[in-house]
Amino acid sequence: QWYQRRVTGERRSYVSVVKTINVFRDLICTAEWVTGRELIKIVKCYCKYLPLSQSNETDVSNVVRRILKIIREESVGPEATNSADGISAFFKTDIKPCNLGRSDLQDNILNSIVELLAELDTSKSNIVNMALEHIHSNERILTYGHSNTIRDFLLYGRKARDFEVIVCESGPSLKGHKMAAELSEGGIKTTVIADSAAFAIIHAVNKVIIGTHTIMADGALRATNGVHQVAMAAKFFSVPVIVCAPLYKLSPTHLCSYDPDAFNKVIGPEKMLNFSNANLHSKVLISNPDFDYVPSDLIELFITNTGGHAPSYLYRIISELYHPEDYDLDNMCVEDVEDEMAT
Amino acid sequence: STQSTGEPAGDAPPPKSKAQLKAERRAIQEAQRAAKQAQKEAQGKQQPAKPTPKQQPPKQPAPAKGKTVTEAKAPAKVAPIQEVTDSCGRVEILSHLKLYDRTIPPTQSLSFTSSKIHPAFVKLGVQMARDIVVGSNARCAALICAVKTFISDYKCPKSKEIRSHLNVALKPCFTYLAQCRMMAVSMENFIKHTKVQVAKISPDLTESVAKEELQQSCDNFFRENIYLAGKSITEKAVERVVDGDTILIYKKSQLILHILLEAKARNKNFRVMVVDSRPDLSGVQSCERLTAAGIPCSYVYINSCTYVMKKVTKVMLAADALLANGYVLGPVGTALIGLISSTYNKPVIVCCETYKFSERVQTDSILYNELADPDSMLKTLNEEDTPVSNWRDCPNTRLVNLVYDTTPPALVSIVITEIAELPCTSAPVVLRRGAVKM
Repeated sequence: QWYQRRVTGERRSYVSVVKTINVFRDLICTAEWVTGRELIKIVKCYCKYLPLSQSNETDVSNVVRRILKIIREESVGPEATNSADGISAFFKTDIKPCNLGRSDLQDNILNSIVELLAELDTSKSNIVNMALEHIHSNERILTYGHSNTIRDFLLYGRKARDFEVIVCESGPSLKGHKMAAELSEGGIKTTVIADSAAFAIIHAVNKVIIGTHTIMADGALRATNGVHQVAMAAKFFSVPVIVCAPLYKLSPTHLCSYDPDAFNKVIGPEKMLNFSNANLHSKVLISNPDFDYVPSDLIELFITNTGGHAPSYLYRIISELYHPEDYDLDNMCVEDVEDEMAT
Repeated sequence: STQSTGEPAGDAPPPKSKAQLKAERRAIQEAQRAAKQAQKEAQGKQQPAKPTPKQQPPKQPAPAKGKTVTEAKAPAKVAPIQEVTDSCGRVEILSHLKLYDRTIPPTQSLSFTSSKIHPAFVKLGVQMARDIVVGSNARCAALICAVKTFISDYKCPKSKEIRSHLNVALKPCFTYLAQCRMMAVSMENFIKHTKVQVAKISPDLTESVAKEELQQSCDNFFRENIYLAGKSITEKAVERVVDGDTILIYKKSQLILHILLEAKARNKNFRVMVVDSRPDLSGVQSCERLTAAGIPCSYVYINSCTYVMKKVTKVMLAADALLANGYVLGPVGTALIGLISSTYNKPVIVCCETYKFSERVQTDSILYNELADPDSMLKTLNEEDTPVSNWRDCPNTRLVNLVYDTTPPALVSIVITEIAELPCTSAPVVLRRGAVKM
């Protein structure tokens, strides 16, 4: 309950991620555990309380996975992690007990979490500072809807370069209008177009820069509704699509099925069709999906806080950030299952 | 009729000889050059009053004179109305497209009695400018009615022949219409057809017989190219609707709705997915008509097109024109739907009457397009303000509301016309056939 009170209702993904880390930090300090494995079990147990129906669920789960990885690394001990090579660490699924007592282990874990928080803190500014490497002068950039990261990215670029931005309105929510207002206040010439005009205008655009809600393990995106068709139009005219997102949005999950309903979340259609058209509401099936799946072959580059990466490189980053056992947070590791069976 | 149009000064000055006009024009030029010099010298000090008294007296008789001079040479031009010419708020790559100021009514500069424009055209112009008459077929039909009314009210002057003078009399009306709203390709083609018909009238016919013939040819144009063509296309397209289909349509098109209603009347069992887009949201009207006929409908915005495309079996789109290089000109968003459909391997059926085929060629959507009212993009369903509602005050914010876009022929499977079912690339063949017929 304490978790829900503090984290629910937070729309900005970064803030909810930081709050989650703080909550789990408290958990590590206050819960009863002796070995690393017990702590992992407790953390996974508390994952049930994660409000998974929230829009920021994937960011929160990713951060929990990072914490679990920290716990595992610290439990194994500093010698083991230092000597272990990347590949063999990848295959290590069991945790060898080490000599550290609870207080030392807790200190190490908390220090690592502080480092994680520092990394998250600078993730946005790292991305934004790369703006000048990706925008040349007199460019026309197309963006879609609203994203805080992209807005700051473009405003930073404006300091040194002169370019123009075309913003797609983004459907029923019209978030693109907010983005356009913010960008033009920052001194960038912004044009608002309807989403339907994306194909008409994209041949005259130099690049497409978008943000996303989640990056999936193969480099696909779960982005705002309507991004897929803009990416398809960009591919048709060979306009590069660049995605700027911090790494806590990188999720080690794949598309579970091609059925759109299994992947997507549908929200209320009152922004699409007024209730004054109520007679239509009853007879017509109205869909207002929130997300869009964008396959990885439509994306040219990911700009993350660790630099620019091609979509094909993301698997490596995932292996560094998360432990394979944590990909499915509901999962219990093999030894725990044996323990349960024994008792 | 050589009256000046919309001229504020009521009395016309007495006609002057050519030499006098030349001398006076030179005097004006000298005065203006001197004024420019004075302005340049007085740049640092604020002296705008100095050049203006010099400029004003020569300028007053000049416009009146200019009018009489040009009157003798060519018919009076209708003053360009309501076009936004300042570059503020305009996108550079679209600056070749005209943007009209919607706050000024189109009839502002027209005077009651001396206007050359027939009231039927005035009414039509306002209807087009205010989006009361929409759709390529509807606008063409309205134009046909207006031309027929004009012809019936038309009285040929004694000294002129009907076949040379009627075109001249119609010209200002068409110019006025073009300024109210850019002409659709269907309307342009009808105008070309009328010009040819008028020129073909044999000189030995009486005026009333000639007028009747012209009105008959207008009726024939409508009957053959819009009414019967629509029926023929419907016959062919209904064959393609099978039981269990989910057909995707885009916004509102009179022809497509006709096809679907006809298919329902023939007891075919199908669903319709209506894709709509801002700012005009005409897909709602499609939904209303389809549900009234008992056809199950779904409704999405164009952003969700990829979400619904899996369940769709066919896509039926209407075209505003078919260009000679095979590109389909349709309402903006048609190209996106074509792209998504061909990626998901759904057949794209475009329905277009042959009179809408155009000789124009273009490869992108921006060269020939129309800019609609940008303020309509600010309309939200619950009448609230969007963050860019004050866009006119912000020099950096621009709103662009395109009306058309062109779909490449690779994205279209078939075009159904009244003559045949063709691939997009057969457009020039049809055009040549039409030219031979005329």
